[in-house]
Amino acid sequence: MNKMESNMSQKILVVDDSSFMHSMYDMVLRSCSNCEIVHAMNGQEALNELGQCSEFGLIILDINMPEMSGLEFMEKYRSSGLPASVPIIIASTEGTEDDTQRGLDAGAMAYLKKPFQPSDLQQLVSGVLGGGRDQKAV
Amino acid sequence: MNDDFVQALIHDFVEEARPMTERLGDAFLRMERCWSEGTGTGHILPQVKSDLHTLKGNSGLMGLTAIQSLTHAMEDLCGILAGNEQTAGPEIADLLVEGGDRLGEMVELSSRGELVDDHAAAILQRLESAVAGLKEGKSFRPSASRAEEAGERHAGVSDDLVRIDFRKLDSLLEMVGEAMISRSMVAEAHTHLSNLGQGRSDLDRAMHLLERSLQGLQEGLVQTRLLPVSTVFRRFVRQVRDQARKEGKLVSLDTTGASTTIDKTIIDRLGEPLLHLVRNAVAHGVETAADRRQAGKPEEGTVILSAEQLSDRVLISVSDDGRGLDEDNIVARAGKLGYDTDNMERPELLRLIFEPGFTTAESVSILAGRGIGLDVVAASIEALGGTVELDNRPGHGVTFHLNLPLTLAVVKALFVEVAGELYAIPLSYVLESFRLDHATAHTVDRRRLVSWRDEWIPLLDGGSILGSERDGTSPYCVVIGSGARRCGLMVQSVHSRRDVVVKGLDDILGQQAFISGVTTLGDGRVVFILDVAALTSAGSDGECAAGGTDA
Repeated sequence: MNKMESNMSQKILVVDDSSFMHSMYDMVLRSCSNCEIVHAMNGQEALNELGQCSEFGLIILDINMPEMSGLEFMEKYRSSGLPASVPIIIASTEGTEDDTQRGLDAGAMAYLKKPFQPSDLQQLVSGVLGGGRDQKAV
Repeated sequence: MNDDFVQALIHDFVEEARPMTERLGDAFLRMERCWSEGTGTGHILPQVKSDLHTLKGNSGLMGLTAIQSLTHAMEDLCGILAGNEQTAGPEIADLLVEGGDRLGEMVELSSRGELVDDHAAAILQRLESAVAGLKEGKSFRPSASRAEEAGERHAGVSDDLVRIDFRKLDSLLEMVGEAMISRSMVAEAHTHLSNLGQGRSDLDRAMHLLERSLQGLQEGLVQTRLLPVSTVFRRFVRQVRDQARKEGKLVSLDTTGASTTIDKTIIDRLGEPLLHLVRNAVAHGVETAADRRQAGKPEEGTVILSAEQLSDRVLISVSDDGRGLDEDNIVARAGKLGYDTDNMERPELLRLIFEPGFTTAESVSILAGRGIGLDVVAASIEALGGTVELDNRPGHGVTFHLNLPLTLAVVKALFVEVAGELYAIPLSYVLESFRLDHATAHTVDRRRLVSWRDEWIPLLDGGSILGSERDGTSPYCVVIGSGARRCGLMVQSVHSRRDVVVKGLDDILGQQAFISGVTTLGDGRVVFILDVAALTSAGSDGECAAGGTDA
């Protein structure tokens, strides 16, 4: 029963302002059979999702977004009182600024530079989710 | 990324990238204008940078390196500009505008799988050397403060939008049309029942509510098909800029009412005729700066595109403050072509410039080129159920007024019977219908004419023109008009008028002469909708007029 629950709880929150990126994540992560993808178009939508459901196993976060950027999201998420233990992977196009480093400093567990190979994403995601499950199972 | 992914994702990529490149093209022109007026572009740059950034990331994922490198270079340039706008001038603007053009092209090419890696090599090189030059020559100031940037972004973005394939809307609208038909069938059955003495008040109320909600649904769906005319206006900013520059004139384009909405189907077919009018205005309407100075006008000419909605019509006008049409020359040309100009009112005379062949290459200079293609403009507007009017102010400019329907999807139509078949005529074309007094109809040169409001108009035999039996006995005449052309159509009977949901012919029957579409009736019967523009032009050509005694 416990194992079932932990399998079902593999929800991934994808936060990106590009609907193309959402299609791409859907497609690439389709092979990840026991995960469900929830979509948010900016930081604010992501906060709303997290407020409604506490079962996310992973957040994949873009940095440059309207309304609320990835970095603002991380700040608000930490100070929101929500359980902030969900691992975050930053997936962002390299910009001129050092946002990536700031994201990692703010607690992101990994950085995936766009454009990335689908296999890179799959590996990283299954590493995080698999690791999480193992830890729970132990 | 492997081929399967690319194939599956390219559609999504293009769908998102296309509006971005349009928005970018727009923004670059606005930036150019700001710089030429000495104002900053702080209100435009953040969105530009964000779009370029997204395009760069997405194209990279798709392996579209040509787009990726160009957006990267443009993003670099915009990053420099954000802190250092005084370095911006016409050269920088040209680079961005041209880069925007290439991006648009490349997105289209990628949708067909035809994009090659070096498509934008030349502009890329120029951009990169500009960026390198700016980095070396100018000190780098930090970019606008984050708070400012975030604030601007916030103001510029509205995300309550969903993208929908237009065909889905079409099929929804057809379904609503069918639901309305079913409703009228139920209503009919209900009438039979109540004739049998059954109770009706509850059912009456339910029918009434159903009708209201179906109507609301139909209107709502028509609303979703409407797009702002800015989607077609915006391309002319560029057109006017480039053309004026090429012809060595100073011309600016102003638009008003660009947020007025109109059916997408009409927008799609409005581009060409508008382009023609705008091009003519710049080429032949607006004078050179020297001529304008001499005429006491500001050196820069103005072309104005405006739009407004009046109930279920949209009025679009194209006007310029140029030299106007030379009416003496129009009279001379008309006389040469055999028109009886003495008996023509001024508006009628001016309308001649919309007649096919009124102007030819040799007469271009007489009419300042205005006539070339104007017949095509008029025909395409009329084919959309619209009209073109002309307002000439010699020495001060010309305005073309286009009066268009808000939508082509739902029209009010008059049902008529011709040779035993029902046909629908869009009501906006119907001027009058009356019982034909055969004493008012005459045959002149084998053409049948009927007297209507003090003029003789061609009389068409509905039966023969629509491919059935000739039916000289039809007792009714429906006067239809498109543009300046009028004609009478002989029909057996005139029925009710009502809203119909129009379906195109393409999928069902292919092209048919004098038929513009079909609609369905309550009993499932398909009814043809008559193509009035084609009928009236056939009438005036005399091809299909109701034959005389010897035909």
